[in-house]
Amino acid sequence: MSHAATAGDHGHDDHDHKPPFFQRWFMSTNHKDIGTLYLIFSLTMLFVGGAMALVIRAELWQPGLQFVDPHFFNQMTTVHALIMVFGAVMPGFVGFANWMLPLMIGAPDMALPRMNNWSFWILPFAFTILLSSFFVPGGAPASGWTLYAPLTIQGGMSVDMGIVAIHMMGISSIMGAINVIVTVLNMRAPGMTLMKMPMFVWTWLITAFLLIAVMPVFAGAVTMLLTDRHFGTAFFNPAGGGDPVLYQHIFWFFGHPEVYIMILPAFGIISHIIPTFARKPLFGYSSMVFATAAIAFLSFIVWAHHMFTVGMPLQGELFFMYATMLISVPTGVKVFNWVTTMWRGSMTFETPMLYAIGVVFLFTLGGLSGLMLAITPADFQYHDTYFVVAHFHYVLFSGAVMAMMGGAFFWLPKWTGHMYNESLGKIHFWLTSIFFNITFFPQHFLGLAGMPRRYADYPVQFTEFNQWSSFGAFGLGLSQLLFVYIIVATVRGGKKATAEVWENPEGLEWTVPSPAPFHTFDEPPVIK
Amino acid sequence: MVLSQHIKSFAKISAFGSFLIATLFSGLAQAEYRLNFQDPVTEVARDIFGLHMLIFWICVVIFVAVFGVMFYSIFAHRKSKNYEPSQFSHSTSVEIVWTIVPFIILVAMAVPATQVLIKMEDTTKSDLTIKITGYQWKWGYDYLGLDQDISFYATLSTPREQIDQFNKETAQPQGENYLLETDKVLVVPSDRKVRALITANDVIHAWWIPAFGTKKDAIPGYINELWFKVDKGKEGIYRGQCAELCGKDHAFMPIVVQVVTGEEFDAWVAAGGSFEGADVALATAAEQAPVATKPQEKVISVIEAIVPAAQAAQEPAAEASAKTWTKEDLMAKGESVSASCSACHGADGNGIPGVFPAIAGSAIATGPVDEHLRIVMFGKAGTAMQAFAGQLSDEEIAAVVTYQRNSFGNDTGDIVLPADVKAKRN
Repeated sequence: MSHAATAGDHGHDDHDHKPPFFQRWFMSTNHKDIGTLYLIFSLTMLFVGGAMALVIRAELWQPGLQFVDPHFFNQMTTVHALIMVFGAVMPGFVGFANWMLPLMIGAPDMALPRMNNWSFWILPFAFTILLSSFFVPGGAPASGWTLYAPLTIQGGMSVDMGIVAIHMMGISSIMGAINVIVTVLNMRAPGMTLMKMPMFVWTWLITAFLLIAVMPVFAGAVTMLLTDRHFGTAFFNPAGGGDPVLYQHIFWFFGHPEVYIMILPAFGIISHIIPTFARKPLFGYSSMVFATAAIAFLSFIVWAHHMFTVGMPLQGELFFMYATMLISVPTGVKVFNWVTTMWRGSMTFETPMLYAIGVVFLFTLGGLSGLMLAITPADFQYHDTYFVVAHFHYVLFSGAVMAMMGGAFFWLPKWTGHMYNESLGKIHFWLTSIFFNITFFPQHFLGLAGMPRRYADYPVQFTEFNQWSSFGAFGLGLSQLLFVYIIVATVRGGKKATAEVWENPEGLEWTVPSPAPFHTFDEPPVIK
Repeated sequence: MVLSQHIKSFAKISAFGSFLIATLFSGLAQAEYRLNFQDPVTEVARDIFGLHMLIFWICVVIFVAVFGVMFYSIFAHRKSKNYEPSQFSHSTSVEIVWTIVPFIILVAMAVPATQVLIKMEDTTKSDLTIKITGYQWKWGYDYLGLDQDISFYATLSTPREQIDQFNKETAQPQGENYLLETDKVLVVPSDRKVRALITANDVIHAWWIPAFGTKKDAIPGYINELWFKVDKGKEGIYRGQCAELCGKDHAFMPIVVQVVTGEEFDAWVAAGGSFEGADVALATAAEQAPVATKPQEKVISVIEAIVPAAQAAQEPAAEASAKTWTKEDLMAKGESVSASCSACHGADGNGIPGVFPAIAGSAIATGPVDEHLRIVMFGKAGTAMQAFAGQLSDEEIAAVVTYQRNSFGNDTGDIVLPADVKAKRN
């Protein structure tokens, strides 16, 4: 994987001519500005969803109901998840894709810039609808983010608002995915063959196919839900002969690829950071690509491991157990490749590298608890307990979100032209990872001891670990204020960043000046 | 000088830190807490426990091996030690090895997992069958195929004052079995294979007793199966909770199972399986028995308390229908059974706007009596409103409808008599 660039300096003055404020931020078709909008949106949603998590953790500080009633508690768990999945993680990665894909493949912009603008501007409206459902009679959706029927058939009008919001988010994601695919397949610089593409481009290309494959499935599921609720159909409503388990099958056919949609771009980011700070090429590039593709393929045939307790036939349970266990093979390959990339490198530990190592370590911990969950007989005990909550926060927070934080520190100098404050960055890493573990590690014990998830109140023997968890959650939440401070401070000023930023980093993005000019690669670079 | 300042500020920080940690640890030291599964009392639960520990240790070994290598590399191969970076970027043989070896480990895990799963799914040759039905938010139990017709509902018996801590003046401290206690308990024999048929009436619930190693979703329109056979000598009280989000009171529909010996169970069945008069004895035993097993003697004493009480309990029930009901009687009884209603419609009858309609001032509770009775008895399709005709007696339905028509600001003055309910049933 060598794509040493021959690109010269493209930063002419007229390339940096920017439109006035309103046109620039509301009508932009520039991939960098839209990327920035996505990233700001994602960070905002991280705080909105995080605030809901803190309501949950405050209520769970001790047994009994102290702050909120169980109905509102259920709204918090539901909307927290919807916001984090569809508002924070997915748009965050689209923001990275917008900023970095054209820079990485030597393209002047995304292939479909107006659609790019549209796919972003759908999101603020979608989430306004979702969040305004708190103010309608009955409050927001309270059936868990999975929206299982028939509980959702009972819900108030907020469920309909949620369905509309999900449709809009789906349209936005699909348009974003189409844009990525068209850009990557058509706009690579001359000489950049598929097997020379940077890993982040590869992981996003595969993610985009996953998105196009499964978002319509989810849209179909919630549409059937809508007609069950209002138009007298009975797809999922047992009172009319419908099948509640069918909903779960459809949902998880979307839902399992969805979790890889949220982690594959993170794998891509990690695969850029580790080689840079190990000063050594990524180990096993082609096996990384094939492992990513294998994970994506397997993600379509494992969905029912989310629903082992619904009473499937034995043969079905065995198939889904074996297929699920199989995913750990390509995932293991990725982890081994990262560790081997570090092996006999010459490592330094700037903030992005700390994040990358943290992600590899903590994501693998979540991956191993995932392997435990795959074992069907044991899953009967883990299912719907805090063990599952711990597992998916290890892969989603310390996998996806921390990878985005690492990526933000990694490319922030390229985006802003300034170096961030390294000491503060490191403090942010340590605060985040320590508080994260205080929050979520004890939840493994809670789950094993038998605490079910989505509980507004719990038996007294679960008190201690819940207190650890609540303590950690507030620390984790407050630590993110430092993240915002670092970013704002870096945007405003700081040491000038060079074009390369780091020591001999690989990739076309490091051949353009920092900050990256408004227009880049008007003439494509040539990859040898 | 500078150093001493550093030490001072460090001492301050660590004093604060140790205060926080001490607070947390003192909490830990006081209470019982668990790091792992509850002690298994069935063969399947033991198998699952073994499987869980086997996979856990395999994962620990993998984790330590991989990250041992990584952390060695982090300490040894760093730029500050002037380590010269190597430039190797692939090795086909290594990559084949670390694809094949994990695969072999997986096969080694899959073999015992498959064996246990096959055993778990074999519900044939059972000695006793119980139908379990999930409701928002209680469990219904029907013993099938016995000479006696035994069926009942089990609802949370933890007092509301222990749960609601909003108002510190009315709040009470939580008891030992807080949220793990029910008014009636499922009684099952040890050393017999018990098969459960699981379904639900409204939304999806899940029936789970951790110590038995059983969890199955209760799905409306489906009948799922599970089985358990509690070891001889492990008689006692076992507790579990609903494990599938089922709405507002998901956390408030626990499962309590009392395991007795076969002979005791037969005696209990012969006595009609009644709980009348035995609540106190059961509650006492329940309080004394924490989550895990308890000595056998206590259980026997509970059964001794139940059996004669059950026989005595037959008579008052017969008397009830002959009684002449006054409005005061009905109102008092109505209030006592209205917990099923207030779960959704609220203790003040105001419901939750948009989700659960109000009883206070509602068109149904102040309109025609007939329609009110019909809704209470037969439910409303497509909503959480259950059919209570099968759950409550004529007297209870009459009382609760009377109560609702004359409470929460409703003052229709209507009185509904058990005979009216009886007529409506037919």
